[in-house]
Amino acid sequence: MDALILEVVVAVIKLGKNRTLAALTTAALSLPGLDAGAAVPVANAQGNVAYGNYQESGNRMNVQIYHVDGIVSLTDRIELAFSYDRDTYTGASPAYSMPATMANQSYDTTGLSSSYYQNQVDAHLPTSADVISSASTVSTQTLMGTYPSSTSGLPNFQSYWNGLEALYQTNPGHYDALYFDPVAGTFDTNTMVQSKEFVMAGINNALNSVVPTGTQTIQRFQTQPLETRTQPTFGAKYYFDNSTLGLSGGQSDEPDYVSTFGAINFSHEFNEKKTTVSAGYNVANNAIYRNEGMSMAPPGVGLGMVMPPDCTGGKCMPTSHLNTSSMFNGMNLGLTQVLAKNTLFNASAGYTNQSGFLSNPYKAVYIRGEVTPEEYYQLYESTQGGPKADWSSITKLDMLGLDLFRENRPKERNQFNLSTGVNQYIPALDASLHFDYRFYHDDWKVNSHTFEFKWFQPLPFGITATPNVRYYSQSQADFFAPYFLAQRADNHYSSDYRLSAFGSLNGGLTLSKKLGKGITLEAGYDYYMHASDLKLGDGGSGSYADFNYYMAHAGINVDLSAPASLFGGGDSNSHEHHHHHTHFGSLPPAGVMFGHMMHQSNDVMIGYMYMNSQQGGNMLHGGQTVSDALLAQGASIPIDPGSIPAGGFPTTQQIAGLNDACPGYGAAGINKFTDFGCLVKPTSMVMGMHMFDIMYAPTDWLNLMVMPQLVDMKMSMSGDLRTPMGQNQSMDWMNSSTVNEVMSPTDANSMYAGMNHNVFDLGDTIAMTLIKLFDNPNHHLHVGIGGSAPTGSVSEVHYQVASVPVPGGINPNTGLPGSSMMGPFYPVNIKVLQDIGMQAGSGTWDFKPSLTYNGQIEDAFWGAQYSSVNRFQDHNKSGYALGDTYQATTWAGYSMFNWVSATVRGVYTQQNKVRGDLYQIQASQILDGTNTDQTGHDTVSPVNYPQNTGGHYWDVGLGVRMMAPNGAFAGHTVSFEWLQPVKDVVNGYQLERTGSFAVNWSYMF
Amino acid sequence: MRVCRILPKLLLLLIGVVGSQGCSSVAAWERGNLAKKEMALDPNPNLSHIRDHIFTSREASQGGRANSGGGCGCN
Repeated sequence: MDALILEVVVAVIKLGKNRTLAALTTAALSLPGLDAGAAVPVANAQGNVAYGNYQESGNRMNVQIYHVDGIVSLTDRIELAFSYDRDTYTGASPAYSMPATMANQSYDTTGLSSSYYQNQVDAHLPTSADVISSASTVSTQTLMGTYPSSTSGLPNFQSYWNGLEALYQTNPGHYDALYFDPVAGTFDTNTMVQSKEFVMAGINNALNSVVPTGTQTIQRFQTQPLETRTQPTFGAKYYFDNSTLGLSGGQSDEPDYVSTFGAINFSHEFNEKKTTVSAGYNVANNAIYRNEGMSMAPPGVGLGMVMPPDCTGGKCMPTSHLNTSSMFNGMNLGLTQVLAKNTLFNASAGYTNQSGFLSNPYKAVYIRGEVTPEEYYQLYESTQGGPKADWSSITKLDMLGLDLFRENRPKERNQFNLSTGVNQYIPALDASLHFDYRFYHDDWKVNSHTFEFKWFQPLPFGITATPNVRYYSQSQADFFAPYFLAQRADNHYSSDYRLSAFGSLNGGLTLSKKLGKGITLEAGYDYYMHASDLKLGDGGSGSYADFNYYMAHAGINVDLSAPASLFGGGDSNSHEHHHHHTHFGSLPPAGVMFGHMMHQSNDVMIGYMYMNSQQGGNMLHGGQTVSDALLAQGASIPIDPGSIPAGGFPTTQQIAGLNDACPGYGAAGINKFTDFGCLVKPTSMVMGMHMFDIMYAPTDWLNLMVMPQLVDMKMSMSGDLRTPMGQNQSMDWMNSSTVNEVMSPTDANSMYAGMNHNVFDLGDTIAMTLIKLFDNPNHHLHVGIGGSAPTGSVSEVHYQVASVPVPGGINPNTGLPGSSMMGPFYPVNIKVLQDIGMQAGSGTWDFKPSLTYNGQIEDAFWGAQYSSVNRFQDHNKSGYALGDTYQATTWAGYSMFNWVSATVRGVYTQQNKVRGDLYQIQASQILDGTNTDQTGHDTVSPVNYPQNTGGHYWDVGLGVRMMAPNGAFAGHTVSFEWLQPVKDVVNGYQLERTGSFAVNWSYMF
Repeated sequence: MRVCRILPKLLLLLIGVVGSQGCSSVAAWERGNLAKKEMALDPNPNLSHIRDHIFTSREASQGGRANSGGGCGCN
């Protein structure tokens, strides 16, 4: 976090320096005016948009990176800057590492007489599993016993029984004391209570004998539900004659980490502006949480939840929720020196103090001996009716599984760094070479060296190629180990690979091309190798954690201080002419797409449009409001007798509503839901679309347009719609044997209750051709022919399931579980997708024709448009196609002044139902092991069913448009329109619409 | 990696070469090359921002010239 502030501060320095040099050049060019002003704000405004795709090897983390920033001058002294970052990440990351011998231990299949368990093993389980596991909820019960209910219990493993066997062999006289079943000739845990001696032998054998010192390390991963980080940052700078003062601040927000930060920086130039010194201070306050619990992670996803030691499954809530904080304070000093006419030198020093919770909330460590076999026996006894174990005397760490704990780092960290670099210009090549070195040290005993080299090489055609190489090497933190075979006195442990000893090598190439003066395009690729062997000198932490990643990136820079020459060859006379000819005031309202043409060849327009539509309030069925009770129909709520009309029969509406909103799939199976109705309903849905468009007129009758989009959607679900029928009917909460939708019979809520869904991703990309059909001064008619390419995802994941509990016993006729007893865990890879309305794209190639008429007389104008969206394919790769859309709209407006106009509009939209559906989970194929790699979706809410999509909609809109007819902002247009829903008639059951708006900015060159 | 052990020496050599040019006086009209965008301390701050956020979330070191961040980067 402090890193961010440092970056901001550094950026302030960098920008300041860059500007200094630019100003110096200006001064040099206006000889002999050497006393020209120093650094000054940007001439007009600049903006950047960047995208990156980060992918780690081995299907680990994937991050989609979006960045936008802008900088604008208020006066000749003050400059304002903002930036907005958004990362969306998903995938797997290392959770912990452990001795390889603890992995893939054999399950016990011979020492037991339990035919029930034997059958489960034979039918459904892998023959081995990790002794150390965090796959399930952890309590003393799963740590030590109630065999055979959990894979986490020691008695499930062959090695445990080997210990008993050894004891039996060496002490035949203990035969009776050990409760060995003489009839079956086996140990029978179903009937016997074992002696301490007996149990200790098993524990010792399982924990000690299989972990010889020096055992290789093996890594275990956890999956990460789709999450988004959002970071707005604002900055301001004031330019004195020879100094610059900068202030910046912002907030980084992700579900489990909210960081608020600020920085101040001052720089001063002297020595004929050959020297710049700077100083800065920064602070960050971080609120840290941990995502877990029933609303986020179904069983088997991610790390387990730690239960209080006296808790048995289902009777208590997880206690692992984390709510803590940390504070970072940093300062830095910098120096930049012109050494020669082609050489620039810089150096800086920084110090940061971090305090508070500095551990990683998701990482675990394997520690042998933190809980001794004696203590394990205490835990065992407490599950057998013995005295309660004193958990706090057993360990101060959070326990996650057998010998598995949450990591624990010191509460303070002091970081120091020294950096130096040289920029060298090579006149013969017109190239600039940058060499940088950084030394880093902290009191966790991490030392690192970073070497970086970049070569900026201008090439013909306005292209610049920048190859870069970076080498990094660090030593390990003093409390790091891949796994621990002894306790540490300071109680600090981490197995996070970031604190290990390793090196990394990173190489990349970036290409940029200037289009005229105003726009620069850029794209590049980086490849990064993290390896223990790459460390300087010896002593890498081991190759088990080695990984690679690549990062592909692209960006566009727009400099608005280069008007009329955006694509080169601009003619300022024709530019002036636009503003007289084009009636900006008479354009259609903001929400009408493809509604106007540019009428001059070589015109270029860039624009940004944001559309936001919201749903909330009541659920509708057709045009009528429906109650929660009706949605939940079939779960536990019969039709309220009071609502049944006289005569004793429910209305047609009530009958039609039965099981209609969430009908389930099929007559039987895990997707069948007819017994339940809807568990939850959506309470709000917000869909935002960011559209960027570039429009170009090759001739006066043809316009070409490209429009990439980003979509940003958020949906919230209600609490549980069902109401218990009575105090003693807790079974009404529970799933029957078909659907595991609650964690346990005593849960008060479905795990789906109150869930929030978020998607932020690239949407489909529109390409459009507008062709003029008729044009005179008062009437214009044009047709739009184009479509959208399926660049948006239709497999946005809601969560991933890495293992499912195998219920006790399968009914061979249905392939379904026949008993409510939860069995061991079975490894699967199930991706549960967001519902269709939350997918970022359509997934199909879509045809988007439109016909638009615009008319005007003096200050009054009007228009009409008919448009449709037709899908070229009947299903996308997730199994469905969105319904076709038809829309008719008409508007009228008036230009009150030459800079503002207002519009009123009416809209009718018909949206057809979704065809097909998202693919379903084939439950029987999971249970019989033929297909454990599946994609599915929830079935608990009306939004999960395609019949609840589409409808007929009527809206009225009010809009306003402003444009600058002349002056510094000539060519800029801003418009806004609010659309108020008048009537909805929906298919099936849907949340009603509450309104939408569109904001549009465009700039014509 | 043997190459990596050579790198520090290369850097020292470079600093030596640069140092030998001394702090000779550079007049304002001689600074045209220094004013090129590619000679700025960070000619491409957006890309550095993205790269450095990744580095800080994958390596223990934080701060210094080449750094950025924001958020936990825990995963």
